[in-house]
Amino acid sequence: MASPNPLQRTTPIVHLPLLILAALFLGPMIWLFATSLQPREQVGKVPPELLPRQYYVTEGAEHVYVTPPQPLGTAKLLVVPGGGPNAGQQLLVDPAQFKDGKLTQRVRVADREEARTFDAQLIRPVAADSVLVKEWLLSKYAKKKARVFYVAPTEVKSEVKPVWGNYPEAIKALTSGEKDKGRPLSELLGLSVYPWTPKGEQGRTITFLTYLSNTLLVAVLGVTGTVFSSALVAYGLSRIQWKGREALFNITLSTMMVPFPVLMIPLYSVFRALGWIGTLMPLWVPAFFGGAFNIFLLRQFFMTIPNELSEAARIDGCSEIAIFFRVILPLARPALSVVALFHFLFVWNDFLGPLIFLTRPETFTMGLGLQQYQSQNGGSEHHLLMGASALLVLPIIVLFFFAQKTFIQGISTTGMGGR
Amino acid sequence: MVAYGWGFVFGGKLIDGDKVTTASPENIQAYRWMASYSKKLGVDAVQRFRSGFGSFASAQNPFLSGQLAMEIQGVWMYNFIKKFADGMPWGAAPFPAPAAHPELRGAANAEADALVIPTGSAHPEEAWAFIKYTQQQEVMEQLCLGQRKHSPLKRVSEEFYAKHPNPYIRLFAELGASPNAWSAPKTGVWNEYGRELTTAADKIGNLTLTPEEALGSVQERIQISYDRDRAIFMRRAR
Amino acid sequence: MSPLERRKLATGLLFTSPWVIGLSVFLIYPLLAALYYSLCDYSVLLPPVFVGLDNYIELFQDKLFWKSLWNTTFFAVGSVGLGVVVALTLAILLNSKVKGLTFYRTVFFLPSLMPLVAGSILWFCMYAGQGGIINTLLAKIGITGPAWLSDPSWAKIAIIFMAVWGAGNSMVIFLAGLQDVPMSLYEASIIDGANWLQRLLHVTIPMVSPVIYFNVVMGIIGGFQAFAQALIMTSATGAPEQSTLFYVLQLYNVGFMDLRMGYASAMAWVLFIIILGLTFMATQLSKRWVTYDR
Repeated sequence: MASPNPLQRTTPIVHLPLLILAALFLGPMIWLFATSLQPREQVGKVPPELLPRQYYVTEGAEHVYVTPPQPLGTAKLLVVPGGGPNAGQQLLVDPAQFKDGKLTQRVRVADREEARTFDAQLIRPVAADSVLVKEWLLSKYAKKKARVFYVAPTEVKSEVKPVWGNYPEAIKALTSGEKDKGRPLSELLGLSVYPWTPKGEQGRTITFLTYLSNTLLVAVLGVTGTVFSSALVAYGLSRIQWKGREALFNITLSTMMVPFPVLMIPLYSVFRALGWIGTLMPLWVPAFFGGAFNIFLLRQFFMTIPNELSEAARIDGCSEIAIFFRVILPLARPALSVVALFHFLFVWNDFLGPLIFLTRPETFTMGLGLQQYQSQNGGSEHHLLMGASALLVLPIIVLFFFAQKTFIQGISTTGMGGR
Repeated sequence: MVAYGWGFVFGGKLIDGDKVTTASPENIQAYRWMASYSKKLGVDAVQRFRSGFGSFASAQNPFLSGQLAMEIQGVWMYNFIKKFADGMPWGAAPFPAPAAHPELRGAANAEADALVIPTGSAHPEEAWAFIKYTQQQEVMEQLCLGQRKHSPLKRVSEEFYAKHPNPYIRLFAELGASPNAWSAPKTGVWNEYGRELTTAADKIGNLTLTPEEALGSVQERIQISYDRDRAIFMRRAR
Repeated sequence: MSPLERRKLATGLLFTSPWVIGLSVFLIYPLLAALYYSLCDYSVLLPPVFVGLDNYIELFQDKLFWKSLWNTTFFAVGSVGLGVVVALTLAILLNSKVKGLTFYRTVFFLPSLMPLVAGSILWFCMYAGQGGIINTLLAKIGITGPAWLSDPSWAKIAIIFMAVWGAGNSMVIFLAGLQDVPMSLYEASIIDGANWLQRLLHVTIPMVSPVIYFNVVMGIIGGFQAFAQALIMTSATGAPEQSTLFYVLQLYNVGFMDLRMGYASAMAWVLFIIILGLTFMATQLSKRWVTYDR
């Protein structure tokens, strides 16, 4: 052909829309991680900033990180009163309150306020253009008292500095019912991993790590159950010729159309009759009985394995179970890993199931714990909220980079399963 | 202020015996007054102003950051001011009554945390012993001092007020005892009623519906639910 | 039945027994039980009381039933429609063997893996009114953004955008489908003088139509069950003005908040019938519009 095949040419014009779309898709993820590393005050800022930035003042050689500067507005005086509620402390007062070495201050007496006068020592006047900065503390519940500085605005500088401490803070914040204690992370480790005890033990703290271990427990048990049982059933539906096989398969297909909301209320009653409500069992036990989608996926795969292999094994005198374990399963590893991966993802992302079936905070999974935190605090500490969300997302991203091929292959085959 | 509270300020009730009285004249007056601000300032401006509010428990709380000059809040606000805006000058006063009805003065939302013993508890006797313990004056005052609340008991010691850090604590205690103090109706359909009222307040505030329309349809709907709920209750009680 | 057939039957049943048990206990029984509950007044705390069709009669007269149905339909159609268009476009763009395919594929696919809870919280923070990053960026190009989740006219659209952001898995499926389109068809059309638009409309889309059909059906079934996004990004009442009161959210409210499980079961069965109906309709339509391999 004289003219070059237009299909072989990669038009450069494709790159522009792709780049724009990539920026749009990547944007929210970047914002998630950026915000999770910002100090508390920067998150609510209007207009929002991307890079985490912290203010600091220099004291000698070191940087003391501080809150964003607040202008004082008018000139004030820094005094140390000899008596009253602020005795011995530095206090910022209006010049009108201080005369001839005496400070007039409004003081609480019982439940009223009265003006009292105390001796006071003048430290220095504070210029009107000064700003107030407080020592920046990671946790709003920290016991340490924040030092206050009154300095000229030029002394307050800012630098780009990510706040990695937000992550442990987020972990502590997700702790239910123990928010007022500044416990070190090490003390919180190594607690509750047996969520199906009838009542919590004394002194146990429910933390993010509890949620994590619950989720992992459900995931591991669920993956084991579904891989094994779905493979078993798929084998029965594909490698053995028996009457009623097609009928059962068609029933299986049709169950994929039943929406979970129809089942969830009676299931709740079933689980309550079994005594499983309040434990994690409703979330992983059903996986041991197979799932329609996984059965379908594995059956399609098993049908691609040549019959000769099974026949040869049968002639050798192998029982069906032996053929299943020794011949079919090893060949099915790619499909089994897809099933395992998908179920793991499902458990990690599951929200409605835990919401309905879990009642005690020590059994909550991560998604549920995160949602409870968000709904109880009205989305208060956005930087912690983003930090906690990032913690929920990071393992999935890591998993993706390790198992990319399985992911892509798996998704493609499910879609092509429609053919 | 909760969406369902405005009616009480004007003397309206949400349920009166058998009847659901959402669309009573007092309630309509209350919500008309609320909608008048949207009319005066423009719905768009109000929505935009409100959407810029930071979250409650933060330094960007609209009252603590200076966006709002005043707010209806409760005795807990002292804790939030201390935590996020320490040193901010503030005061507290009861919400005024309509000029024509001074007898409605002192309308305030009085709710309490309740200790309950559910049916089928494993240790009802012990639970009851604990409840009795918490209701003793010294114990209750200790708890309320820790939480910076006022005491729900009739007898309060002067020492409690002297020790209490909230300078307006007596005001809250007085409002709690006011004859015009109100609380959400205790009925099985309150969940639904509350949701409907929140939506109605939204619609009235956005000038989508008039107070008569919005409250009227809520009353219609909840009257049915309320009757049904009571019929079921009666049937089961037999 | 011959002894061999009998043995095969026994083995087959043995292998499939976990599923048969599971099916009966965790699916068939609850499905039928839900039907029974839907004919009862059931508050979970006390045993159900048969009331006949009362729940269904009340349901069809309930304003919130119709409102939530409308909201959900709007969301399902909007998110699936827009999602499929975006996913297909991305797949077609990526199918031309661009440099950095893996990078682009990762970027577009990753959001679909995010847990719904985390994604909802993230977009909730991004939409936050005036101070939100989305409106700030829009302002930089001169557009005054709406109040998104606080504006009744925009709230559903805001959630749809988040759903489209997660359409990456559809894109991967489309990519696989596109790669299956035989080159010979494209070459034949070029010989016939077709330009890119004609190639797109007459070769690509018809050949990919089974995959489009699959994505649309699965998307709609999923879209009708949307729940977590509405709960987390707005509230249990579907504020503002119930514009994001999705069907399953209303079901959850009625069942687990108002404790009217019988009524909620009626809602659930109606949802089931709707989904069955839509799937049936889609199958009928696919016979007209979808071309399979001849």
